[in-house]
Amino acid sequence: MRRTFTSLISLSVIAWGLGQIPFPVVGAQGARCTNPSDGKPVDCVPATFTTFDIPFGSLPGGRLNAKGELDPTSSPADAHKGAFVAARRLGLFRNFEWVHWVPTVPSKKDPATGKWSGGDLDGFPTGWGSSGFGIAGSCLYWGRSNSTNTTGPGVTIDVKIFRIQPNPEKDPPIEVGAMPQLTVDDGRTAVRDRELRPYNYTSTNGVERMLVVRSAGTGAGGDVITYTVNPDTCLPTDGGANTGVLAHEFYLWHDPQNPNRLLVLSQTYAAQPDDLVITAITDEKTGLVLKEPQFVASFTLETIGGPVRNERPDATGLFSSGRFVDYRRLTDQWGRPGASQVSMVNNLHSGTMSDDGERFYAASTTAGMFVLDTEAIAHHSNAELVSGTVCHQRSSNAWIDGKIGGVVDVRKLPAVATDCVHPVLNSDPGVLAMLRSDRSDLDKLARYTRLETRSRFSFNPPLVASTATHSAVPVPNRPSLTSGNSRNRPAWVVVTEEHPFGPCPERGFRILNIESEITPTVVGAIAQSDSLVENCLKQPRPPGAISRPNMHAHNPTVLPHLVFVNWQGHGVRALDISNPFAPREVGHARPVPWGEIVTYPDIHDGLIYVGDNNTGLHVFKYTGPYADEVPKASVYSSNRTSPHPSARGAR
Amino acid sequence: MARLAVTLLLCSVAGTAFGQAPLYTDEELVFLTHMVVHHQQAIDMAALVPARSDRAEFVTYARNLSGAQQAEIDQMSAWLQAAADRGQAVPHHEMTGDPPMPGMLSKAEMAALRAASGAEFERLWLEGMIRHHQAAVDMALAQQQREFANRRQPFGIAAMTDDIMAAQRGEIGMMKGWLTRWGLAADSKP
Repeated sequence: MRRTFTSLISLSVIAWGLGQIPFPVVGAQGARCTNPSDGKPVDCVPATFTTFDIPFGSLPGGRLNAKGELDPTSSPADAHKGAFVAARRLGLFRNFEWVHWVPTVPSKKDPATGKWSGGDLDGFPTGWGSSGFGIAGSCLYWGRSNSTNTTGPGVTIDVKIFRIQPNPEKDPPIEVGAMPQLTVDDGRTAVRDRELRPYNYTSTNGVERMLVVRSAGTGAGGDVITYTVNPDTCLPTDGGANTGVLAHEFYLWHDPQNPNRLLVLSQTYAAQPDDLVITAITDEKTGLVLKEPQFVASFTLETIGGPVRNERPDATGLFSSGRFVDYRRLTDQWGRPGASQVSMVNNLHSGTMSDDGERFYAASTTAGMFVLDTEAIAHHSNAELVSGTVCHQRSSNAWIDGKIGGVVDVRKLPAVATDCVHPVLNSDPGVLAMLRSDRSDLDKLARYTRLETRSRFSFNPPLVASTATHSAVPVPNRPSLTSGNSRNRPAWVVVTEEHPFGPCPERGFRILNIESEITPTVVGAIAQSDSLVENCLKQPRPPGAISRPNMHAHNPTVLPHLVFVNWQGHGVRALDISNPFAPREVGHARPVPWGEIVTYPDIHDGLIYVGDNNTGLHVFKYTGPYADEVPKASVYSSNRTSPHPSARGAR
Repeated sequence: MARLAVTLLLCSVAGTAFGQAPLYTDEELVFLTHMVVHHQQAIDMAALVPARSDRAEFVTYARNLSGAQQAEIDQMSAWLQAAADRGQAVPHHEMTGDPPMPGMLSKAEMAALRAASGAEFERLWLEGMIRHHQAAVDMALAQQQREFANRRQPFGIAAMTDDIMAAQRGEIGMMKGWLTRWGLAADSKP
């Protein structure tokens, strides 16, 4: 609960007196704190609230007039201006500045009445779920998540291409082109552009190159498409090369040992039999985009004896790993039933490749977060891997008679360590020694089962979340100090949690300790107030809003001590993770009209860019604790190797 | 099985908490009910695969298909149950037609499928499932068009229809590829 100003001041004064936090200055927009040593504004979170509770009862959910009041037919200029007025009045930005709002779906004027409506200024949702977004050089790509139920049959919203201006704080990005949205069903259905990863690199012959990888969700036999881009114009120069992979999310990895080599690591989320598909999209000898992308390797958790996909409970509701809480009898302010869990999907949703390529941090939904050994991928060329002589390109089947879901054959488990991609558990020397020992098969199976279960951290059951572990990103430049960590592997991984249909309660953000890679465990967590089911149920409906967006922690952009998380309906939140055991919120940015921020926050030359499914493109500037960690002269994102150049030729 | 589930839902209407706003429109309830029945036949078809085909990728696909569609049935049944708990009359879909819905296999076609094996089974199954999936995509698209016309985003359904369309379109493409690659398509025969 948000405290009253009186109690807020009292607590702040006490804390200030104890020398714990800066002195707060209370203004019309709520508490503002200054550092007494230099007079600069800083956060005052510890004495006020742990996270910012959006005043949903007065949050505008639709088009505004210049005074920041709901007005469904205001002019575009007034609607734009009024949003900033309302945001200031409601204190929707703290330690963030709302630098630019660039609506990308225009309003229309009714010639009969002269009234305006429609487009991003209305804050009407144009689609559901993730939307593609990314920056490379000074080129910005923004693809909407439109689908027929929100934009109408056959309506397309192309990927917009923008150029970030030389003075980005003063001048908003300017649209310079578009990539046509793909359609299926004879043009009846526009498919969502759910992921975009632009990237610029210099090949070994000194040529500066750029590409953009798109996951368009066509479901038509291959969604991951790589386009060659002219870095001078930001525009694609070809029709794209299709990997033939049906991806949900993907990570774009640039090999530090070979600048010509870029790999796409597609997380299929059950769209195909493999969980993780690694594809070469460039020629490792020239750096040119391959016209026919090359399958390199894959990994599937259930094949090697892990949890099977789409597990159902028994008649009592018991799953193999426990029992879920059940809130289905409750009803929220939108009339929706509370959350319950009907199955455990147990497939791969997202993940992050380490910069050196030796590890992949897997966000594997209800199967949890675990660490994959990808050293073979890092240390061998594509040609070697494709030859099949270095390692097994696909996961080894570790079940008796190959029957997935039956009984794990412990005698087959050592072979898993020879797969190109396998859990770190399976090549752990102690585990391999145990499996090769003269213990009985039953004893080996019991030991392995305990170790395997502990090698994946999962919060569900008991917590309800159908997707569950959504993202997993290691914390950079904070290596574990544990003995033997000669490779400077990270100590921490942040994970976000998803329940995509959005019933109460919502899900949050956790920090895992991975100093023992085969035994990850949670150490810290932070969540909005609606992760408590009773708060979620009574959360008011914002006036003017027609639907409630997703409201869980979604995609994190992770710096050493600071994380920017798109928290969808809650906007972007800045988290101080300097003490991973006690993360704290140090800033929030919630533009209006209410919408759903769905993209990884991409950092470009010190500013933060995000896409909102309801309102378009937004640019923020972060001013809170650890602002000095925000890269000032590069592009940084947690869904591809970062940082990379912000402008052609400049790092 | 689907009929049983729907019957149970109907029975549960009595004695439930009334007075809450309806969760779904009548058309949305029909959509859910029909999709449950539609999905169930896909599961029935998938169950035939392991004993009638030796192709590992086909058997794996059938297992994954069955699991995914069962999960969606469970989810849709939970939503129907929630609607019934609010006193909404959940429609009962009588399996009277043959086939009962567009894209589903008729009784004779299912019998032929059960009687077949090897390449003939694979061809019948893939052709039937392509038709079945396309009908599901069409049903989901029609649902989305209704949502757009009514400016509604019904709880859960708005997202699930996107997933159904993307997943089943992808599988249609994969199955068409198999028909060609395995020499089963009409235009791939010598």
